[in-house]
Amino acid sequence: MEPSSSTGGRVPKTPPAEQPPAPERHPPAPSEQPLWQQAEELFTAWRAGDEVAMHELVRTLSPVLWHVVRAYGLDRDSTDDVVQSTWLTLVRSGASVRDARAVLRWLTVAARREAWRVSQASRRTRASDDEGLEAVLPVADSAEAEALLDDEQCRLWRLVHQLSERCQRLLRVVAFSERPDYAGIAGSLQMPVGSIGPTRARCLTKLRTLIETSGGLA
Amino acid sequence: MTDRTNAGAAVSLLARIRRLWETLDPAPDDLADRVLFALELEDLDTEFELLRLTERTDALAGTRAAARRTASTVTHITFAGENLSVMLAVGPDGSTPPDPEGRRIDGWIAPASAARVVAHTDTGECETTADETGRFVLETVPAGMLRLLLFPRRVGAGGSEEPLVPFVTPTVEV
Repeated sequence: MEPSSSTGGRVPKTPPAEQPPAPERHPPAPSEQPLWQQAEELFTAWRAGDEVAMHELVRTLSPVLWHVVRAYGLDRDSTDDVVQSTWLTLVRSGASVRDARAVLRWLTVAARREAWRVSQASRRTRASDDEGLEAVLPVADSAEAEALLDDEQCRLWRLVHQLSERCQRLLRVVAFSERPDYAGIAGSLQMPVGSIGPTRARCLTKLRTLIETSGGLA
Repeated sequence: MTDRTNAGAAVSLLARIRRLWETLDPAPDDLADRVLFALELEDLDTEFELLRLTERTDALAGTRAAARRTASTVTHITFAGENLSVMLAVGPDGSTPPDPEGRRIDGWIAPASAARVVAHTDTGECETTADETGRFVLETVPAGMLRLLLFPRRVGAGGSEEPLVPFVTPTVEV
């Protein structure tokens, strides 16, 4: 295991610190090590023979993969299955991941590919199966969804739902798979912040426009 | 999205989207447990072909299926790979009196093949054999995580046996 100079970076599933209401002008303070960097350290440690590091990596990133896969409309059982096979593929082909810094990206791309493949296959077999469609919705209806959310989240939820399906999916994937790393990646790897990709940037811009025209979130 | 200000706003908005989904559709608490259970197998020397879950049907359809899981519930689970599929019927435990924490599993391997079948569970392993019709029964496995290892073999005309590539199912909850 490499020495870790940071504190608190290894704690899995730490909920992000509450954002102040309108700090849109500054990136949020990095309250913890970026996810890709935690992943890099754990993966490097595992490749050096530390089995426990893989356990920690699995605990840290499985929830991320869950959201990435669910964004493709897979039901819960199939999502579970795709998450498992993604990890198996990583463990089997660990040596082929050349740059440990890219392991988070490697995992999310592998999960997305498999999720896409499974979603296309199940679309074919149950095109008219209502049960299949229902199973992919996290909650039965918007009233039920809104009961779980606070006011601000409710407003955001309604606006997100005005976006195309594709935009909704992309934003969910981006929100989990690349968090909160634009600032971090842009800073430490000298990548342009705009590397979010033109389609995702467009989706994000659309959502921001919706938020602005609706009078803001908070 | 070309300057720092915009990047900051994007990060903050994405964080809100993340919290939204974490509230609406959280990952199951035991997701990582199932992954780790599946990875244990990688420590073994044998190379397995991983089957995929293709279908799961709980006999009691509807939202209360899980809550009302009773002794009469039968769950059908199908796994498939390139050249082989396995169907499982998971029902109440086969012992008398039935153990409410136990499950009976009836399995069919297609195409029909004799095989050694090993069930990995939270608490250990149990083993049975599939006959040449591909059928096997596990009378009692504990409810919880389950993964099956299948070691099929081809039985030749003279009774000679040739082992084929073994298979493993993903880990499922029964």
